[in-house]
Amino acid sequence: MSDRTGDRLSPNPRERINRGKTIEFSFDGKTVSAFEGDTIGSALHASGQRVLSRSFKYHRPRGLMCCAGQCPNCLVEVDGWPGVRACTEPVRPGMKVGHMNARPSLDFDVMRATDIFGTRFTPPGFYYKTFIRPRRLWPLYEKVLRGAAGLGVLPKRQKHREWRTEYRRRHADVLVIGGGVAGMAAALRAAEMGADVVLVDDGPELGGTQLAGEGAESAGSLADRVHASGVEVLSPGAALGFFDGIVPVWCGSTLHQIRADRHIAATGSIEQPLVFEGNDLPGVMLCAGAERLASLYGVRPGRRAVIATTTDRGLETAMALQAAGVEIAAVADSRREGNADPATKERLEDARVDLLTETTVVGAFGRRQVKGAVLAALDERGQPNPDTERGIDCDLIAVSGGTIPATSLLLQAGAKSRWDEQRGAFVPDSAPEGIHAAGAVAGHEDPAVAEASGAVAGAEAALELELGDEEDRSTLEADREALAGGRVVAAPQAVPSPMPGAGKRDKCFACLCEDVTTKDLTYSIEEGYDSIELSKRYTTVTMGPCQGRMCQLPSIRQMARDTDTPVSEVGITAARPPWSTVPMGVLAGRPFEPAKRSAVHGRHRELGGNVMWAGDWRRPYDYGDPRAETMAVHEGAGLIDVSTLGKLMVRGPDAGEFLNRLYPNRFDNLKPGRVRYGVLGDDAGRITDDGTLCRLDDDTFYVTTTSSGADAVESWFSWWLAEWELDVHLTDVSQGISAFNLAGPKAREILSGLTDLDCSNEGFAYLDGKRAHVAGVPCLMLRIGFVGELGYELHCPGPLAQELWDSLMKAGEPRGLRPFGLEPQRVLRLQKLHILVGQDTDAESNPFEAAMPWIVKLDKEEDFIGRWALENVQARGDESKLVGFTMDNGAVPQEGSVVVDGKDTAIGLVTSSRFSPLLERTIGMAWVPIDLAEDGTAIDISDEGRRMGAKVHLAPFYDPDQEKLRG
Amino acid sequence: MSFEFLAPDDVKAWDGASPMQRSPIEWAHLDAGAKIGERAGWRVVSDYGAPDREQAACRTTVGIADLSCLGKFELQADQATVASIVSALAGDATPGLGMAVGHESVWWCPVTAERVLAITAPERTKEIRTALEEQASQAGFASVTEVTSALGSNSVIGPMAREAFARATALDMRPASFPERGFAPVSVARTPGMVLREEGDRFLHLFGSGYAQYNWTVFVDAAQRLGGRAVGLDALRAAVTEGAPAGA
Repeated sequence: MSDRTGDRLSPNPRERINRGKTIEFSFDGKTVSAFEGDTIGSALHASGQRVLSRSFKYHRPRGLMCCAGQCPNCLVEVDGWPGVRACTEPVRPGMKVGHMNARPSLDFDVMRATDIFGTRFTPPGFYYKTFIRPRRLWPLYEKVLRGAAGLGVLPKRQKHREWRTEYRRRHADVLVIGGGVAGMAAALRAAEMGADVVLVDDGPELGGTQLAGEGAESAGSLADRVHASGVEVLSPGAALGFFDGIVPVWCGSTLHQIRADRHIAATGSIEQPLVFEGNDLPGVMLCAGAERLASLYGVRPGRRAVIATTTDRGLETAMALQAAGVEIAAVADSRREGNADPATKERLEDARVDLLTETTVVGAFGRRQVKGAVLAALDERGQPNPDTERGIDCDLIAVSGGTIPATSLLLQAGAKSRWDEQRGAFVPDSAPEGIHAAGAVAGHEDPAVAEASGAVAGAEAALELELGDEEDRSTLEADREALAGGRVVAAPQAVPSPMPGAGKRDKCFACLCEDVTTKDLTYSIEEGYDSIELSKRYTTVTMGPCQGRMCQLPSIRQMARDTDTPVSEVGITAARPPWSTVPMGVLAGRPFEPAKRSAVHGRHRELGGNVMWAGDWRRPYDYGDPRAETMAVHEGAGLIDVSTLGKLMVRGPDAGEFLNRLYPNRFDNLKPGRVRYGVLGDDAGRITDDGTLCRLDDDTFYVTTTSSGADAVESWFSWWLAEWELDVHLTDVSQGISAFNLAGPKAREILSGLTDLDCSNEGFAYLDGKRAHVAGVPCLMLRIGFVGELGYELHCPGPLAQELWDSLMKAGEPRGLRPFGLEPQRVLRLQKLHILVGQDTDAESNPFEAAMPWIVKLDKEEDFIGRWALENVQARGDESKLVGFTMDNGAVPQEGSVVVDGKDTAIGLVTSSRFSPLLERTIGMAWVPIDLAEDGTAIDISDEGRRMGAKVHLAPFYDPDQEKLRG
Repeated sequence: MSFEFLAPDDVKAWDGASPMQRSPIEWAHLDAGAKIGERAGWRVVSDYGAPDREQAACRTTVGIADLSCLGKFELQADQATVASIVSALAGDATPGLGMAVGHESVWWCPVTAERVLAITAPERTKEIRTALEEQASQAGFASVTEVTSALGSNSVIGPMAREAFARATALDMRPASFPERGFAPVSVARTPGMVLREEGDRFLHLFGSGYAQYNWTVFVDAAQRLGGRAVGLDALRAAVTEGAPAGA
C-alpha cells in the first residue's frame, strides 16, 4: 500500500499537512505514506484504504464518516491500543495501526456471517432469549459470546496494559468548553476583564468548524489573541462530564480536574446523519467530514459525489467539493422548492450542479464501499416515494441531516432542554446560575453572531465574579443588543423518514456504534419498550462510543413515528458522563498508595527484613528466619521496631480525669513514672483498642495505642475532649517517636551498658517508666513485656532512632541479640495469651468475655464510657470466652477456623494459631461458649471441613507466673 | 514543659561522639547519590551530585528539598493566650486563620485558633523551645509540645512548584487564593498535611514523618515529570531570598 497521489488534492491555504515531510507508518502490516499533519484516517483515505474496521455486531465494513472524532466508524488499534479514532489521531513515524473487530482479516471476516445470515436470529436482547436452552450449554455460549463481543482487544500482558497517567487539579475563575469562535471569544473577553481562564477544546488547534471553511483566517487570528491573553488552552482535550462543578478534562496522559467558579459551554453543534439503507457503507460521510478531509488534509473524499441534505449545509458542501475537484453527480435537498437560501442556490446553479428538491437518499449500494446512491422523491407527507427511485453511480454520499446543539455537558450541569420545532432539535432552555452557553449550542450558528455570543458569555461570567469595570458593563450591554439583532435560528428543515419498508435490501442504522437498526427500534417498541429510556436500555442505542451524538435524534424521531407521539413528548435520554470516550487508566490516574515507614526503615532493608503491609505501615514481617528470631528472644535478646504504635501526649490538669472517663480502669491514681495497661472501649462496652499509659508528671500522660488504631483513638479522644471541655491538650506524636522493644534474658545487660540509669530490677522495676539517655539518645523507657520476656520499650525521637538502633545492635551482638519481626512477635505474644485487638476481638467483644475482667473497675466513682453496658454484661454473665487452646494433632488450624459441636455447627472461632518452637506444639486462641471455657476441656476445630481435636488452656502457655517478665 | 525524649537535639556525648540527627529517609537520599553535610546537629543533604542542575531546577522548573531538620513546636492554649504568646515572640504580630506570620526565621502557623505551629531554622530550635516554654509557663494553661520529629517537611520551590502540588492536592494555590504566608491544613497525596507558601514559588509541605518516604517519592516523581528534581540544601539556599523566615 502506498500513497495514491491521485487522491491528494492541490494544496490549499487551509490545509494542516506539511507536504514537504513524509511520514511512514503501517496499517495491517503494510507501509503507508503520509504527510506530517495527516491523521491516520486522512492518510489511509489518501492511500485508497476506505475500510478501516468492522462494526460491533454485524461486522460490517466501516470507514471515515465525520472526520471530527464524533462518530464510531473509524476506530482502529494503534500500537496495541484499541479504540483509537483514526480521523483525529495524528500519524507518527513507525506507528503500527491495525483494524479492529475482524478475523481473520479486515477483508475476510468470518463474523460477517452474522450480517448476511444471522440477522433474524440476532434481534435486540437475543442473548437473553436465544441462548437460554439447554442450560448446560451456557458455559459454551458464554465463551462464544464473550469472544464475539466487544470492540478491540487489550494487550495480553499486564505490563503492556499499564501506562502512566496523571491527575492535575486546576482551579480557575472561568472554564470555557469549546474552542470554536464562540468559545475563543468568551475566553478572550473573560481574560481581558481579569479572569483566570481555562479553555478546553477537543481539536488539535483552536478554531472549531471554521478551520475547514472560509472563516479559517479570522478564527486563526482570534486563536492568536487567545494564546497571547494568558488563557490556558487545553487542546486537544476532551471535557468528560460535569460533576458538581468539577469538569474532568482528558488531555494526553493527564486528567485535569478543573474547578471553576463559572462555566461557559461553547460546545457547538453536531451534524446529523440521515437514516437510509446502507447508511453505514464506507463512502457515506457527513458533509462536514467530507469538507474537512478535503480542506484540512488535501484528500479527495471521493471522485463522484451525491449530496443529500435537509439544510443549506449540503448545498455549501456541494460547492466546496466541486471547487476541490470532486464531481457532483446530484444534490438531493429534502426541502420544498424555495426553502433554500436564494444566494446559495444561485451559486449552486452557477456551478451547474443538479439540485433535486423534495428528494432524498434512500439507499447506498456497494459491497465494501459506496458504488452508487438511490434517490427518491418525497411525497406530500415528506415520505420517500418508492416509485420515484433512481440510482446514481458515485463513490461518495455526503449527507447532512441538519445540526443539533451539543447540549450534553450543559444538561449534566443542570440545564433544561426543550424541543424546538423550527430547528428540529432539543435545545437548551435554562441553565443554573454560573453556567453560560455561547455559540451554536445556544442557537448562534453564524460565525459572527457566535463570536458575539461568546463575548457576551465571557463578560457575564467575569462580571459575576466582580471583575471588569463600568466600561466592560457598557460593552456587554451593547454586545447583548447586537446579539439580539443577529441571525440566530437555522433555516427550517425537513428530515425525511426512511422509506416505508426500508431495511429489506440492506440495513438502516439508527445507531452506528451498537449496530442498532430502525427495525431493532421498532422491534423493541413492539416488545413493550416504548419509551426512549427503556428502548435505550434494551437496544443499547446511544450507549456506544459516540454517546448519542449520531443516534439520539434519529432514534427519538423513530420512536415518535412508531408510537405516534410528538417528538417533544418522547424527550431525550439522560445526559450522563463521560461525554467522550476515555481510557479507564486515565480515570484511575496515577496510583497513590500512602505508606508509613519507620525512621529506621533503611536499616530493616539492609538487614534483609521481609517488609510487608501492617495496617498503613510497611514493616518487617521477619528477617528471614522467624523461628530463630523467636528463640533468640527466649535465649538471648531480640530487638523489634515498634515505632508503628500510636503515641499521644495527653497534657493538662484534667488529664487524669480525662483518661479515667475514657478507660474502664483508673489512671488518676497512677504515679508519675509508672505504666498501666489500658483497654479502650466504646459506649457499648466493646473493646476498640488497647495500649499502655505512662504518667510522665502530674499533668502529663504518654498514651500508646495499637498500630492500626492510632488515628481512630486520636479522633475518639479529640471528640470526647470537645464534649467534656476539660483542661487537657492532646498531641499526636505517633510518627515522630520511634520505639524499639528490647526483650530477652540479656536485655538488661545490653541496656545497662548503654545508659547511666540503674537498670536493676529494684532501680527499674516492672511497669516503671523512666526517662534517660541511651547511647546519648534521649529516651522514654517503659518496662513492659508484650512478648513475655524481660523487656524494655525504648521511645526516642525519630531523627535519632537509627543511632539508637545501631548502638543497641552493636552492644547486643556479643550477647546474641538479633532483630525480630512481626511473625516472631505474634508467636511470642500468643505464648502469653496477650490479645491483638482486631484479631482476637471483634465488634462484639467486651473485656469480661475477652478474659480481662480485672481491667474493669466498676467501683470507680466517676462514670466512664461503656460503664452502663459493662454493668449489664456483668449482671448477665459471660456467654462466651476467649481462651487459649493446644492442638491434639499438632496441626496449625487457619485463623478463622471454627469451633464446632457434635453436629458440626459452628459455636466458636479460632482467632490466632501458631506453632511455638519453644513449646514445640501448636497453640492458639479461640472464642468458645462459656460452658467450654474450662481448663482442659476438649473442643473440636473444623478447618475447611477437617475436624481436629484441641484442649482449652486458660493460663498463659509461657511463664504463667510472670517470673521472667518481672524478674 | 517539653520532654527530652521529644527533642531530637537533646543528645549527650556517647562513646566519644554526639548522636547526629537524621532525616527519616536518609537512606533514600543516599540511594539517590546524596552528599551529606552537617547543619546544627543534623545530617542533611548538601546536593545530589549535580549542584548546578539542582539550582537550575529551583530557578526554572521545580526542586524538592528535604527539610526535616526544621524545628517544630505545637503551642496549645485558648485563643487569647495563643495570640498573646505568639505576639510576644513574633514582634507583636498575630497569625490570622489561614495566614502565617514570619518573624526572625520563625514561622507562626495557625492550625486552629487554639493551636499554632511554630517552625524554625534548626539553628534556633533550642532558643525557640526555651522562649515558648517560658511564655507558656507564665500563662494559665498552655502547653508546648515539640513536634520536630513528628512532622516531616519538604521545600517545594520553583516556577513549577504549584504544578507539582496540583498533581497531589486539590488546594487552590493560585496567588489570589493562597498568597504568600498562606497556610492550610490540607490533604496532599491522600495523606494529611499542611502547606505554607513561604514566598513567591516557595512552599513548605508538612506531613506526618511516617509518610516522609511516600511524600518524597510522590513529589520527586511529579517534579521529574515537570523537568525538575530533588535538590540539596545548597541549591535551596541559593534560591531563597536572603532573610526569609525558616526554610533554608
